[in-house]
Amino acid sequence: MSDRHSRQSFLGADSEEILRDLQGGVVGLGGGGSHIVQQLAHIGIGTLIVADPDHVEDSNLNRLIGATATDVEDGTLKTLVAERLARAINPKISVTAVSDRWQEGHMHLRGCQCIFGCVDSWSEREQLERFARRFLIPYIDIGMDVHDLGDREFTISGQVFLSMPGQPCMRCAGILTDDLLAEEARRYGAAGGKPQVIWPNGILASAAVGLFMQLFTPWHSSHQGFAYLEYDGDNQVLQPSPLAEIIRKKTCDHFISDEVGDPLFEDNP
Amino acid sequence: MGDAVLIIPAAYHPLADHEYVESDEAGAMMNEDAISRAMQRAYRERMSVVHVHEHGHAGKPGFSGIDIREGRQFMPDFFNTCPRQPHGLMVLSHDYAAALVWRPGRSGDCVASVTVVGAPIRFTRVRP
Repeated sequence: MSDRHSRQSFLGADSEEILRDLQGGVVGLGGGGSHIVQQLAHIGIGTLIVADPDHVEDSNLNRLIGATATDVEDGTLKTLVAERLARAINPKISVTAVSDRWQEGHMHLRGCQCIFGCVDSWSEREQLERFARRFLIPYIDIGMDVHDLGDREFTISGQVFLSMPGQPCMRCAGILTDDLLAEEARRYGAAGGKPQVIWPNGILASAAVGLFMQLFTPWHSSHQGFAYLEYDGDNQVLQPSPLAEIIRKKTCDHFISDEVGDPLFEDNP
Repeated sequence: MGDAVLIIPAAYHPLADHEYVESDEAGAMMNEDAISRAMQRAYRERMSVVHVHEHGHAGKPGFSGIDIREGRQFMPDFFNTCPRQPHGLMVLSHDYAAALVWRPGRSGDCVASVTVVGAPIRFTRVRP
C-alpha cells in the first residue's frame, strides 16, 4: 500500500487496489456532489464519471467545493471544476465529464459500480434510481431542504438513501411519491433556487461516501445493503430513519427483479 | 465504456440432477439435454447464456483447462441459436467470481470484469 493511503490501511490490504479499480458516478455537482468528488479523489477511487450541465454562478460559491470567483467570471462548467479538483488531489485519476444532462452520458454511467445522485428535483431522483436499478448499480441519493416555518424561523432537514438492487427503494421509504412528482410537474420540473448551505451538504455527502466505503471496503462485519438516514439540521443529528427498520423487512414491489438492462433493447437475429 | 459489452444477469436457472453426466475429469458435467434447454431459452428470450459453476474456495477463482475446453465446445451452439448476443462462462468461488465472454463477430474469448452486487460488493476488474 502506498504511503498516501497508509492511514486508511485498516480498510484492508487490498483496499487501495479495490478503490483504484472502481468507477463511480456523481450526478449533480453542486454543494453535495462537489464534496463527494473531493472525497472520492482523496480515498483513491480510480475512475469518476461526473455529470452536470451547468456553469458556475456567483450563487454557487457559498458551497461549491473547488469553485473560485474566477470560475464565475469565466462561466466554467461545473464538470470542469470537478475534474480539476479530482486531478489536483490525484493526478492518476481518470475523469469523464458529461457536461450535459446525465441521460446523455448514460453509456458511461452504466459502467459504474456505484452512482451518487445529488440532484435537486424529484423526477431526476426517480429517473436516476430507475436507471440504476435496471443496470443493477447501487444508487446513493442525498438531498437537503430548508423549510420556512414563518416568523423568520426555518428548519433544515435532509436524507441519505442507499438504494440497492433487491432492497427497498425511495418509493418504499416515501421519499418519492406521486404527489411530489405531480407537484413538481405542475411547476414544469423546476426545483427553483432552493436554499442550500455548505455544512449540511458536507454532512450528507460524507455519510454517502461512508456508505460507499462500507459497500466496497467494509471495516466491520455488519455490512449495510440498505440505509435510510435522516438529517435534523437544527440539532446537527444524522441518524437512521425510524422507517428504516420497518421498510427493511419489506419486499420492494416498485422494481421487478427481471426488468433489467436497456428497456428499449430488441434483437432481430 | 467504448465498445465494451455489459451483461446483466436477468435469471438463474439451475440444472436438475438428471441434466448432469458423470465425468472422470471433473466429477460431473452438464449433459446435452441441459445445453439444449439453455439454447431453447436463449432462442425464445433473445438473451445471452452464461454457464455458471463453482469452485469451492474463497478468493479470486480461475478457470481450469477443462472449463475452457468444454466452454469452447458448447459456445458455438449458443451462437448458432442466438448469434447477436455475447455468451460466456462464469466461475464462482465462495466470495468472488471470474468470467470469460465470447462476443459476436470476434474470434476467441476475452476475460471480463465482474461486479457481484451485494453487501459487500465484490468487483474484479480486467485492466486493458
